[in-house]
Amino acid sequence: MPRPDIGAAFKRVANLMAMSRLSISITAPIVLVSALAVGLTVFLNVGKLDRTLGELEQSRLRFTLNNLRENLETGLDLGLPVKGLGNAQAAIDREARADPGIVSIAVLDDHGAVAFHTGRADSGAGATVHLRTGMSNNLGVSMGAIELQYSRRSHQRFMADIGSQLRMAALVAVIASSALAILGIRLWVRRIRRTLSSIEHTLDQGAPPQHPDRRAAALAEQVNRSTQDALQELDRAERAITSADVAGTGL
Amino acid sequence: MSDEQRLYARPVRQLFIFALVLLLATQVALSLYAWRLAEERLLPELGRKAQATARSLSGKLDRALDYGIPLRQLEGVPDFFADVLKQNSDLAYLRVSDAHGATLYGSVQPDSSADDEFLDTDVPLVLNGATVGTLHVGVDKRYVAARVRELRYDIGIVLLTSLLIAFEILWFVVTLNFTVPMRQIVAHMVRIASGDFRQRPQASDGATLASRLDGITRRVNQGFESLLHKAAAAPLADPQRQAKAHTTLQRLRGIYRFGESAADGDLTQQRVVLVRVLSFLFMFAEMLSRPFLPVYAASLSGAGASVAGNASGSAAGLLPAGLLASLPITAFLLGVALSMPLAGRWSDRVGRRNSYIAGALLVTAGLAATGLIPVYGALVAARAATGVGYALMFMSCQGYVFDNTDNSNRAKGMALFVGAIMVAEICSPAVGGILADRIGYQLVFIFGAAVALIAALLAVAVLDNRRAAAAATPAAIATAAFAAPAPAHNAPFLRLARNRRFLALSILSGVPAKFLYSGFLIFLVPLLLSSLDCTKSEIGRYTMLYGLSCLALGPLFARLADRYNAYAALVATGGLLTGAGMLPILQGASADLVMLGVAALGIGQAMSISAQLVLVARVTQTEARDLGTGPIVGMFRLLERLGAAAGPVATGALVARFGPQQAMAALGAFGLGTSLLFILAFRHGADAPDLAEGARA
Repeated sequence: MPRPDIGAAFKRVANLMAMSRLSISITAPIVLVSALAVGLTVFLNVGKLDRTLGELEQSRLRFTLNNLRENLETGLDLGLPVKGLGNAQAAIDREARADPGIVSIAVLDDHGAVAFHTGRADSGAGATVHLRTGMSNNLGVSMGAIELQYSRRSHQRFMADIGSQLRMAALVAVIASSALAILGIRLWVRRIRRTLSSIEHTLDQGAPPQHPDRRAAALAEQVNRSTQDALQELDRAERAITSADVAGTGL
Repeated sequence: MSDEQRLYARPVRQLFIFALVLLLATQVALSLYAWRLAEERLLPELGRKAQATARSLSGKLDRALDYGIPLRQLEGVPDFFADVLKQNSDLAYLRVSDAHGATLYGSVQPDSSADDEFLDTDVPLVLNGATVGTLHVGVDKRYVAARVRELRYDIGIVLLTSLLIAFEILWFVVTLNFTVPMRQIVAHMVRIASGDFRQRPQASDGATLASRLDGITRRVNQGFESLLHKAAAAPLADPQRQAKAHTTLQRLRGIYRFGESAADGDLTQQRVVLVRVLSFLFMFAEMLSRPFLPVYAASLSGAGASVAGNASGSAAGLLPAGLLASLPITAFLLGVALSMPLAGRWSDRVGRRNSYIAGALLVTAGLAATGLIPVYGALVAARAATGVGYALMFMSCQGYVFDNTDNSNRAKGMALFVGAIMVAEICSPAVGGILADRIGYQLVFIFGAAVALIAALLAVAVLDNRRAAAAATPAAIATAAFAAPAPAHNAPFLRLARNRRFLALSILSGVPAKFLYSGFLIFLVPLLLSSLDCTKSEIGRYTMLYGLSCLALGPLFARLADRYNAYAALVATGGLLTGAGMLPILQGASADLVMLGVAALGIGQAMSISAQLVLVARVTQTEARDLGTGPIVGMFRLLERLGAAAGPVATGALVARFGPQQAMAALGAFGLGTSLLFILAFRHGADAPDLAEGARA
């Protein structure tokens, strides 16, 4: 039964440890940079979505507000005061009913006093956005304003929802890219190990590994040949120097 | 590439391609998913706008119908619709059709096209309970897509930056852990294969294969040494035998090489690559604030609006607004310029690691203070401190390169160092701009402080205070200009002050180049673009163009200069181009014209930077014989840095007096004027053969 070669085993373990250290030290920065880049991409996308959604909401609410203003200004053009606008309450009630996100709409006179109001006075709707537009008559005289308060709850819910979807996608992307990185680097390290073991086996003049790196083995073969040639030359030279064959015929 | 080089070069190439493709694929896939999701989810929101519009317009149309006007005879509907569309760019079309679906009136946005791209909302038009027609409100599905994809530039920057950062880190890791040991092993094997058995120090202690190869060379060398002993032991009385031994040894020495040899360049590369990642980190930390620093300074001084708008604001009451915005930048650049010679000497004395860590901690403190104390005076003081820290880190890194290189590989070492700085110049302002838009100025400074702290921690792990006995350290170069005069010759400053061509080159080319770089790129571009309502991300992108131009074109122009001996021509052309690129702003301020100025500055500086140094060497050949090149380059660099420090404050004064647009044009005129004077001065002084081509420029 052949005796186990402890030295070779130690060497193999040391090689494996060096290789796994190499594998980790290459994989870790790739995974880290990938995770940071993915995180920044999600961060940018969520920020952009937040802004775009806000702009869409603003655009819609501005339209509603402008529509209301045009409606009420028709009465103001006839010379009515703000408090005398008979259709105002119905108009703001209609708009508030049409959009459940509207917390309140108030029509203010030129002193800022509330002339008409719909919705909840105390919002209780969490964060809100306020929009305001001035009203004037056909002579250009400022007559008051319309104020609209809109709940951000649906906006926040939308963002939380889409944010969690994107974070989940990011997590999947990071896990997938990490798995690919680990796999790819393992294959890469295996290739390096094959090259090194081809060299080692050839230097040891042992049996070649299963899939040898021919280029590396060829170089190691040259090293062996050159070393053997040199050692033989040295040996011959030593014999020549120490022998009594002074004429050097033995060389 | 030889077969042997392929053993390590090919795996490295494959690893880089794999890592970069992986990063690219991950981010592209995630971005595409995010955009598709956004389009899907935002479209109903756009639909709500269409519903609100439809409800409002149908109410108006219903009212008209109630007055008894037939649907087909409604007056002014197309004009009214066109007006609504004009005010609502997110709506694609408005259309009224009759009860049979035939279109009666309609209006579309000018750029609307294929019908299948629209989300149609229809509302019936009702008269006396009967539907007489339908109002269609269309929104363009591509509107949401276009809005979401506005992000593509930012995502592209994140992609480019992450690729560059990954490249930097991978290079660091792979060079240390694979390329250098493997290259050394392969080189050792190639040498043995060719009969060179000299022993060399190992790059990586304990590498199994390296030890084995070392064992082979040791064995052969021991054999040869034994032979030498035996040859030496040949009896003196036997000359024939001695001659034979001599001949044998000679023959062996002819075929093989024995003994010991010095380390090869790989050890050097192993050390220098350490400094590349450290250089990258400190430049990255510092340049993050570039797209917004003047604007932030103006906002702290309370002069924001007046700086961006017109020349007359004086918010602090003491100084004009433009000057207030420029002072923190000037404080930083002055901190760099004045402390650099001392920083170099100090780094020589206390060691590279200690000086780098001290610099990194100073930068960390400076950036953290900038972020945490939003007070104008504190900003100026913190920027000055950051400048001193920057100088310390810069000199430590440069010193490390000098310590670990010699004349044969110093250029390669410096190229590694400068390469890292250029990569940071590209990435950092762009990332800083994106972050500033999202998390605000102050958090970006804090982020910069965190990066500087990471650099300090990394330096603790990888740098050492060991110093090679280098002949000329950067500190020696930087400080020699101020050194006490040697008995044999005058002080370097006085000698150089009498060299008219050196003065012309320094004052009419070197100083203006840095003056325009700091005055225009660092100070004026953020201010001007901000006044043109550009976001910080956009400012970062525009600023990035400078680094890209330098990185892409610098080597090309350097080759052209070498090939055609066109150093003076390139310096002059670069200066003229820089100046000319800033003049079109007179036609009217626009982001495109500012970008033109940045591109011209980048291309101009790519032309002139390396050529300037060659010209400095050429015009100071006489002085260099007595003083050495170090003090001369040190003096040139000092003048450049003082020019850089003067740039923002002078430009700030121009902004205060004339406004940002005219200030840019004035800088352009200054660049053109100094370049023309440089040409004249060089023509006048072209008495040496090597300057004849300078005169032709």
